[in-house]
Amino acid sequence: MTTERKYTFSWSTIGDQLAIARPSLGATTRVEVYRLLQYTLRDILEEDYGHQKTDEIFRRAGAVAGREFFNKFCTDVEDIPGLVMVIENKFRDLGMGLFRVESINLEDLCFTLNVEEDLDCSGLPDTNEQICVYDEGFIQGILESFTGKKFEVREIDCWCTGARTCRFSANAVG
Amino acid sequence: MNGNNRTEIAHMVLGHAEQLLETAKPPQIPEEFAEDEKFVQFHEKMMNLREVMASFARGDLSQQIALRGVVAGFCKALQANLRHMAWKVQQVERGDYAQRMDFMGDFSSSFNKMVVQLETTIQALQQKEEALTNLAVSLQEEVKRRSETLQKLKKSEAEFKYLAQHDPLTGVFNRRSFFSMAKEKLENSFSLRKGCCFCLLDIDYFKVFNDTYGHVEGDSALKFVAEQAQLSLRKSDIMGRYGGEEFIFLFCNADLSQGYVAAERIRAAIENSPLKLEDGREVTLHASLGVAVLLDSWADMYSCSELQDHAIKLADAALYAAKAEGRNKVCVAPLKNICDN
Ligand SMILES: [Zn+2]
Repeated sequence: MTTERKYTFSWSTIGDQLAIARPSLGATTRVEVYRLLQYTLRDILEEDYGHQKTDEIFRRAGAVAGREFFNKFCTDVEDIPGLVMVIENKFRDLGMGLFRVESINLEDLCFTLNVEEDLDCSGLPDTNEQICVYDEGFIQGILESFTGKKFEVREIDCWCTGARTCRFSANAVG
Repeated sequence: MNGNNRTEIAHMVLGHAEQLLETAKPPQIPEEFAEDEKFVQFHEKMMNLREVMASFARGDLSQQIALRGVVAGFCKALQANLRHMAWKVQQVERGDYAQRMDFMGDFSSSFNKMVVQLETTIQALQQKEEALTNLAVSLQEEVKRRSETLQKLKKSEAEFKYLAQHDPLTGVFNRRSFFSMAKEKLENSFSLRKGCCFCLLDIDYFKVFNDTYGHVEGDSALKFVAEQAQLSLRKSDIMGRYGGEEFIFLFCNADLSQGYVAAERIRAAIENSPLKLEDGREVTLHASLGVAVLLDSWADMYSCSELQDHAIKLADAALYAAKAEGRNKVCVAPLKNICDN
């Protein structure tokens, strides 16, 4: 496998010129388009690497996104409730989903979180598979950036397993 | 299996499902289906759902929901929402009034209104508390300021009173306050059936002293005499400036001989301690004194001022006698009734 890079993520490459680039269409697109991208990508990746490896790739990508999300929107927050408030508002403003906290144990750094009207999965058919691995990574990236600790995030209920809201458990590890 | 049989079985299954949904006590699996895996699985799922709903009803939101499917999904969503609400309330409890909710219908709007109201109320309370604290502080300052003013006032009142009562040069009572004090003391002595003596003092050759040493030294001499006399007084006696170089005394609870002793003590004190002049020289001053007694028995017949006038007249005569007899001397007035005047 080559380590030669053509691209490293940066907000400036994807968002800075939108007013010029899309004067009529603006900064938003339809959810299907986003899902079209994500699920066709998943299709090819699974074909080449199998679903486990694909999940891992999505989770890693999510973690990069979470880290970048934190760096862009959350660096001013002082405590976990403040962080939650910013995530809640940003998720809503950006149409990513309705982020909610169910419980936080600050001593052990255990979180139970949920995202309703999730961008990735809400409304998808019940396939009995937890599909939101990208979100797992996303939450992981945010929490790791804020706490400086490693986190393991797992989706415990997903639209695709018959739930109406995606729920995540996040635990500090090590 | 014939049609009747099939209907019977379907009704049995539906009856069991109905019982699972409706009865307080969960039904047993009928014997006929005890070995039927599908039937047992359905029974267990429904039992699980009953437990979940029962725990929600009790307010226990920690239940793990193992079921799948849309009903379980709704249960999970309800569980997640209720837990999120509890977390929101906890945030408000720790003072974060920016918390808002936008789901769970009426509850959200009530919650949001409540938080806004709570913040307003708490802010108002804090403002009131702050205002009260400020008020208390300024009140304390005001009280302090007032008590300082009051103290100053009391002090100046006392000073004013002192000035009003005392001769500014010698510091002894002035004439007016001497007589008002004397009246009180006389009444007191008479009520105890005791007599009193009035005494007049005149500095000998004071005019000559003034002419020789000047008025400044003259004032010093007056002060000096007043000092010596005061040092010789008993606690109950009083002294006042009568005018010029004359002083007046009231010796309380004293008969004529006691009055003489008191006057003599004053005369001797003046004679025995020389006055130091500005230039360092020492001069011995002398004084003549006249003493007159008032008997307590007279108090029933005459007023205080009548008695006072009488005694002063007698004392003055005695003073004149002392002067006539060569000065630096105490003379007592012979006992004489008022009506003998
Ligand atoms: Zn999901």
